[in-house]
Amino acid sequence: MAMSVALLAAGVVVALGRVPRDLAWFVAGVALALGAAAGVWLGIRRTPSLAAVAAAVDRRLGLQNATVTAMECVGAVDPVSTLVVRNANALTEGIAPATLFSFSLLRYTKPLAVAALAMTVLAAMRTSEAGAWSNRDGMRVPTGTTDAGKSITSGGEQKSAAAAVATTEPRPGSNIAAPGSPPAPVADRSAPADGSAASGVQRPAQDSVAPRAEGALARGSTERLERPGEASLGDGATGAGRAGSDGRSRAGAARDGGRGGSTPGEAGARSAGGVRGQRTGGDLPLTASGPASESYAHRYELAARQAEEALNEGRVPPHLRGYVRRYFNGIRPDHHR
Amino acid sequence: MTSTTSIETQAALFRECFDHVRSEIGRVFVGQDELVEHLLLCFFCQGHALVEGAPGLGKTLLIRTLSQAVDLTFARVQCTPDLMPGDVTGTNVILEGTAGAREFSFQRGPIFANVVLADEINRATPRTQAAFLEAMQERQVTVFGVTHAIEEPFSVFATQNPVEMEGTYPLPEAQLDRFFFKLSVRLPGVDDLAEIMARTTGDMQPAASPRFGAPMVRTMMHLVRQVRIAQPTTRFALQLLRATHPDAPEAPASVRKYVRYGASPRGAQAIVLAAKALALLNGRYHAAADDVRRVTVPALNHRIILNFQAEMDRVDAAGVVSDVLGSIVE
Repeated sequence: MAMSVALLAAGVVVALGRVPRDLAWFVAGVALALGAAAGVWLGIRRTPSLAAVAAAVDRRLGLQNATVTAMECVGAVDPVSTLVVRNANALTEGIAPATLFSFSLLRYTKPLAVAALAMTVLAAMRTSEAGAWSNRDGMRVPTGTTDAGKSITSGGEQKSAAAAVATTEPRPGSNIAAPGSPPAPVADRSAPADGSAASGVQRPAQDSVAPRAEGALARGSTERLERPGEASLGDGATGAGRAGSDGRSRAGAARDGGRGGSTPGEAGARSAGGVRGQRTGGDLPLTASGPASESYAHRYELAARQAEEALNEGRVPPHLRGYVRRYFNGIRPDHHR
Repeated sequence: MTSTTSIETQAALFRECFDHVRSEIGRVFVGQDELVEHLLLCFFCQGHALVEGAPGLGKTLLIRTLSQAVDLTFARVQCTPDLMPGDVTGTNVILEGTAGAREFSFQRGPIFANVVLADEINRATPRTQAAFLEAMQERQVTVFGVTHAIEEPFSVFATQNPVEMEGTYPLPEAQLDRFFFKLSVRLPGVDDLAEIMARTTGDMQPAASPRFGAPMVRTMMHLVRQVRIAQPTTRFALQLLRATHPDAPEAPASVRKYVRYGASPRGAQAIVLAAKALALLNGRYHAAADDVRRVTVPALNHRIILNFQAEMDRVDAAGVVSDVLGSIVE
């Protein structure tokens, strides 16, 4: 019983998310241990006396108080006591306690156990869901972005990731790559920025904040925030926005005609005609690491401000606010120096 | 020292004697098996019983048959308002000796019999009732400053008519408490009445065959007291007793409503002793809670005093005791 209650309490604690996720299972484990200890303590404290056990045996077997009386007569030497003990022995002879007193749960143990199991499963689901948002390699945010929906490259061409996180309107396909990686090539501005090959909801290129990145805009099925210098897993990246940890632009891969892209976003990028190390149109230089339109610090400041506003206005789900803050701390200009 | 074999022999003899008396009573007294069993339990526990019933139901016949079946001396006292204590206990009379000298000599009264039937005891004056009181409780009689012990076995069976109360002196509570059991004789059914007619209106008058005798009965009485009772069973009997008190926490609602005073500890003594005799009768050397339950009503129903509300609602003491039995679990 105590174990069931403890399990239930642990499940509730984890399911409600009142404790940090990192500590949730630790708290659950502690609760279970406390429940087990309480069960042991109660079992020792409430151990029935021999007379009580004898009375229970009498009731169960209908022995007319023979056992409990015999318990009191044990050790007496008078003939009547001897007869009482002898008769009790005769009555209880051949009785197998294991079959007679089979294991049975207390009345409320089953519903408690079921409830505890359900709560535990719910807690596990919540935890795994949280794991989908944040894993060790990259912090990810759920779908639903702002109009940004655009990639932020190391060059800072695109909008804030926080703003993308904060929106309530789902905007599939936007990919936000964190700065911090080596400068990534920018997709050709003149290239079709519709991403139609990917999702068909490609925003017109003129919507982009950074003109040179317009061609890189693509919308995939998800939006991702990626830490600087880490491999991007986002699929909506464009040739401008995708930068791997090795500094290799995936736009180059996109140039290869679609190899390596498995998602609509990447396909969109491919369709945008991103060329590795080149700027594909306008007056942008066609170099692999061409100059950015503005400084990273300035771009960071804008994005961080937007993120802060989003946080303050409550547009970021509470359980994701920590991620946003850590993300921006992680991409702070002075962080990687 | 008594061995287990001897105890077993005595127990077998007890059951045989009990069955003999029961069958002999059955030859004369028709039906009312529970009444007969309770009466015999009371007798073998050396208690006194108050037998209540309308006239003509065989109360006197029942008591007389009991004494005949176990071959004991029997005396009947017909209580009337002019019955004096000396008529019950005996008195000193002046006798002339062989040398011509006159001296007082104690002449024993009917109370010195083994089985005494005090017929319609509520018609005797309180003074005479008190004479019974000392004999029942102390098992001795004091006359002119000399105490005379009453030989065992000794049981007083008093009868009273619950209907006719004119010119009677209802027994006070203190005296009622001296009775081990209070038994009620109810009107038999048609079949039993037909059997009674057949037995009593023919030319053959059934009579009980005497067996055993006083020494054997004394041995059995001693055996009954050796029967064991466990602490939980004793506590169960005491809980029943406490539950008859309206101010006790375990008292059921009917007790709180209808009872003025609960049973005295003598009630628990009667319950335990009768339960022991019942256990021995059932072949056990220990009393069980079921034994306690079976003897609770006759042991307690005359020991609780009902209030006016009970009289208004026509609630009897036996019903209240039954409620107590239903409310207390072992």
